[in-house]
Amino acid sequence: MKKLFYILAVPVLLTACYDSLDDPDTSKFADEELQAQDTFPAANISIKALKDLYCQSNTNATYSRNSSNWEFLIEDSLYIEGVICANDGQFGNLYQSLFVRSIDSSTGEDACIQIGVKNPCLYPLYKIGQRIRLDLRGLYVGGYSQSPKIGFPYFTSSGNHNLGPILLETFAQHVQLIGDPDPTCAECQDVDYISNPFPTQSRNIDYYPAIATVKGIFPEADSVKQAILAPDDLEDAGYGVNREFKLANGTMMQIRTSTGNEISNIVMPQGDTVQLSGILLFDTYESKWQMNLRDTADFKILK
Amino acid sequence: MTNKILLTSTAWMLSALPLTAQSPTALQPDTLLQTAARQADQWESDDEDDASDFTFTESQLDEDLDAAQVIANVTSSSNDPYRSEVGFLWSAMRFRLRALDNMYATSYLNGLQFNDLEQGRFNYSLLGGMNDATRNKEGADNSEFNTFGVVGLAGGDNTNLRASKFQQGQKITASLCNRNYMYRGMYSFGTGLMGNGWAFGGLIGYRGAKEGVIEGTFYNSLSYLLSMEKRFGENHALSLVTFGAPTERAQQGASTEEAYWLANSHYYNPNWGYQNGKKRNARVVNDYEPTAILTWDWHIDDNSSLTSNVGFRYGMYSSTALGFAGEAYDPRPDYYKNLPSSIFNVYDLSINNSDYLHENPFLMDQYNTLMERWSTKAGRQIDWDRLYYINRQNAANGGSALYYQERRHNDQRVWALSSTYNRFINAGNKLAAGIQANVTKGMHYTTMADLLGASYYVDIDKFAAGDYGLSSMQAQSDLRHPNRIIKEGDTFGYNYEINVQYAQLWAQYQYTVGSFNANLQANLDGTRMRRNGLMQNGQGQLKQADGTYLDNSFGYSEWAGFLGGGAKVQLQWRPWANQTLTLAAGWAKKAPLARNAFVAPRIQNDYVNNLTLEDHLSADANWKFRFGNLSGKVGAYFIDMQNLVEQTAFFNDANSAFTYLTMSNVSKQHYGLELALKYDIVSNLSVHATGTWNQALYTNNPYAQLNTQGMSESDNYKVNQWVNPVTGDYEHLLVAADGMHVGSTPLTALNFGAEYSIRNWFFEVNVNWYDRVYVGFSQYRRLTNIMQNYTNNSVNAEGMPVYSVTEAEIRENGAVLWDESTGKIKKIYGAEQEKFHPGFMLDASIGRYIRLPHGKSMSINLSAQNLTNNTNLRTGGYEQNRDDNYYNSYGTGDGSRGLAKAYKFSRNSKYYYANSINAFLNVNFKW
Repeated sequence: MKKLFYILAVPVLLTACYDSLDDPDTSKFADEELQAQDTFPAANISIKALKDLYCQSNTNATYSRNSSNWEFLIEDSLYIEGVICANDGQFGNLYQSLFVRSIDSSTGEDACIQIGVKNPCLYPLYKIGQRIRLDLRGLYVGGYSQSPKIGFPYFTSSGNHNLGPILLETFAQHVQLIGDPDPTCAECQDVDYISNPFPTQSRNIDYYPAIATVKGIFPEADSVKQAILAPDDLEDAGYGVNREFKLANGTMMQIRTSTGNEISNIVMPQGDTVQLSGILLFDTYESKWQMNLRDTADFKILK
Repeated sequence: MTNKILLTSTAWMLSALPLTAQSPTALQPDTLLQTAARQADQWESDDEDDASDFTFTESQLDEDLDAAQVIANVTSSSNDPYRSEVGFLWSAMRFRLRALDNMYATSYLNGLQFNDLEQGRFNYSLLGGMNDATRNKEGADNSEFNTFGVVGLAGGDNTNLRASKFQQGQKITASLCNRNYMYRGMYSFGTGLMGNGWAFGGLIGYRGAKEGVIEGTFYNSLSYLLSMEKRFGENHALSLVTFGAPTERAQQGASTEEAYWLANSHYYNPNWGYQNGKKRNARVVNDYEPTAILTWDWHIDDNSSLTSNVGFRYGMYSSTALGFAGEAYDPRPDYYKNLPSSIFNVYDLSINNSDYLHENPFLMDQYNTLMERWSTKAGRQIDWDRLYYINRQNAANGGSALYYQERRHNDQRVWALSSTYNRFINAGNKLAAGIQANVTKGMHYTTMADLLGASYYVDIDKFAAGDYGLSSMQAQSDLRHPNRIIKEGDTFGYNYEINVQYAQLWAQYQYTVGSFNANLQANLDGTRMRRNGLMQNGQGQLKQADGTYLDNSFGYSEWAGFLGGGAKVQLQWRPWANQTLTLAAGWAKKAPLARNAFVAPRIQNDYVNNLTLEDHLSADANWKFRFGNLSGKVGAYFIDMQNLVEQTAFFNDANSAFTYLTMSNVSKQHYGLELALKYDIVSNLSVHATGTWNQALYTNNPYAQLNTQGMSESDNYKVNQWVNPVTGDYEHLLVAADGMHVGSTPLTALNFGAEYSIRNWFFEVNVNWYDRVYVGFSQYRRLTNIMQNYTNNSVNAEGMPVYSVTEAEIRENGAVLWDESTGKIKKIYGAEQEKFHPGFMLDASIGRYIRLPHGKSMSINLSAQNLTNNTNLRTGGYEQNRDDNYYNSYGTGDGSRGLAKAYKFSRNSKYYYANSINAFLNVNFKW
């Protein structure tokens, strides 16, 4: 009997679970995987200057599809520095995008630019308030529908050559993380267009992209087909829906929202004044200001 | 650099790859058990053939579709020289007898039928590692008279596990191999029937590998069996047998040819990755199905007996898979966006040429970056540390798990009963009759296996949340516990039971007169099934006219009942000694399987449309002979099956939804030739030849029904619509399956071999040739509202409609051709199904039997497969259920197909390869 017990016991001991590993130590993950291993020199061009050089027009662009879409391949050693003031967030409305902003405390110069990065979930990797330095050599800077952007060219599903996102691997080789994220820094504060006048000049890249707060109403909320921001039925070729939004000064802007995320399900109130925060852009096709919300918290109804 | 890449990428596209030698998955000498592990994966693989949303499968599902099709249905019928050989010979290529699914083979233990009522199949992993205890087996082909029951189209077998039938004595076996597991130990014993009327037999064994021959896999399995029998007087015996094989094993996944090329191995396994520098597999199966059978044998008299059984099995099968929240990046290393060919269409030579790529250098920059990623082992495997890092970062902000490992459970509780009466009336008349009953409860649910550094997960349906909003009713997996916080070990997602009840009354009668013999069989089957939802899924709520909702998710569905049956007749004529001519025919109506019966079983209670009895017709003719030293069999068969229902489930990225696709009214035909020859040159030297040519085809375009998880009712309606482009009328959605072959098994196989023995040495060598292995076809790609529909705009001189589509385009993508004059379909073509390259395999074995004093003995056997190390033999695979195009307005079928994607899913099926050179050393000692 004893013999039988031992015969039985040995295999039982052998069958102790194989599928068991300790949780990994990820304290060095960001240092090793999310940024370049070489130390970058200090920024040698401001974001504003970069935009002025490459995002104003397509003159001398490396490639220009039309007057709204162009790109310059950066072949010089250019470095910018700024703070990530917006990313795709948990709802992904700013799809595959980071927005980097820098405010010069001495001059007050304030500029922001979009970086396209090919990953649908950037927000845990590159957090709001993270200061970064970017090595632009080998990347492309230009206009995507005239909106200032750093990215990499690609062909859209329509076959158009546009400035699209950078592969995450490539981006990690071009970025340096500086310090820990500080979402309370000045760069992460919205530009207040409730207390301050809304820009009167359209298509001025000094004003966009920007994180901003506005106030207004949805004038079509009571007549549209669906009362939510972005119903599938109204989806356009870009998988988004534009909603008219009227500011207090009468300026009509568009709230653009991707379908299929939580922000798209926000119900537009009829008649109530709404405070919106998000990324301010200019839609050159419609020749209108446009805002993309980052989160459902960016939508507040003011009675 | 550009040219180099162009060349290499083209090389991967066009060539069969001479890859570095890698080792194979395991095959045991015992055919019936060889594929048990893969067979056991049938649940996950059938459920998710390509569930890229949260799985590695595809079985996922589907990644393991191929594994699901791996069938060990070759029963060892001792009196059939073809059937007794092919299982052993061709198992390396996952050969299936007559290309039939294992559900058409019926397996009995002590006379009790043990096919799984939900899936129809016998799970061979039940008996995993119990080779010494399961050798006592009786096989029967489709129509052959037997003593245990009416078997399926692929035949059946009955394994005798009574203790008195165990070989008397003790035996220790030790094995080494380079397969799924690396070592095996087994101890078995049998007392024989002792003077006190008792008999005991048993076995305990272990199979294991810290790392199997496929990188990133492991194997950890205990087997036990204990059988006891007590004779009561001359006429009664009670036997109790219990067994189980608790197993934990990590899986291999199929991948695309591009991934294999990048990894420089046809044995690349995308299922594992490094965690803290150690290998971790995302897909780990835990399987334990303790079983007990109590048998009462009543020897009524010298000519009649009654055997009654009651059996119980409690199956605990689970498989882990990675899951991720909607916005997270797909963690699979071979996710198509990680592959260089996702950057541009490498199959389009107007793009894939040096001039174009020089003009657009950013394409090659990105292509090379992804190539670089694949150049390191860590880069081409799962990055577990990244998943933990992301989860921890999100948790730091109070977020829930973005990545997690879920465990999908497919448990079963089975009670089975049988009673079989056998009567030897006289030399010319034999009767066998019996009843079988089975009550099965399948339990299907998911638990949280590992939160990967996160602290919680919220139980909502991410697909529905996208469509309806987080706060919607539809987003809730369980309205009774909305927004439930899930911790490790908690049940989430879905939880339902499938109840199946089955009873069969059967009889066989054999009449022999002179050289003629007739065998008649008949059976009557009753089956009923229902679903019991244990969660109230928000998508299972039916909106009523008054705006209220009726729950169709929680609780029981209606019973669906089916009364089936069948009859078979077999006629044999023995004109001379050693010559037997056999003709057989059968007809049956068989209930559909419960696993195919519900449109979306994870969510709701609705049955699929056109759920009805399957119709089976079969015919066999064969001639068994012996002429001097030449013996063998030549046979032909024909099987026609109609009104079948088949279901697949996959993640559909056209509308970002988990999708069930059900085909109903499916018709299939299997027919072919079988040959086995053996020539005894001298008494200890023989040569043999075995071969088969099979055809296994879908013979119609079945109805299709899509149910997409998370989509709104109106969108669900849309995806099921197919518009007649001439009349604008809605047509019944179809799958262009007509002419498609049953995949993942060689339809042609040939063997030549020789056996030699001398002074207890045994030698055998076999050369096997395989051809006509087809990829498992994607039903989704062949939906008539996914394929292009063309209307003729002219007619030729003969008045025949002329279409703009070319033959090459039809071959690649399929087409529906409409006749403008009649508004009717002219022809439906499914996209051509890929046939793999043929190939051969050389196997050999050597053995030595040593008789020792005092009745002891020892035997040593070394067998080797694939001695020429052919690493390019595909055993199977499956097309991805994804479309090469975007859709402007999904599913309307009115020319709304959108622009082409850069990545071509149609050119990137996922494949499995036969094992490279491998060996199995087996030593046993008996006393």
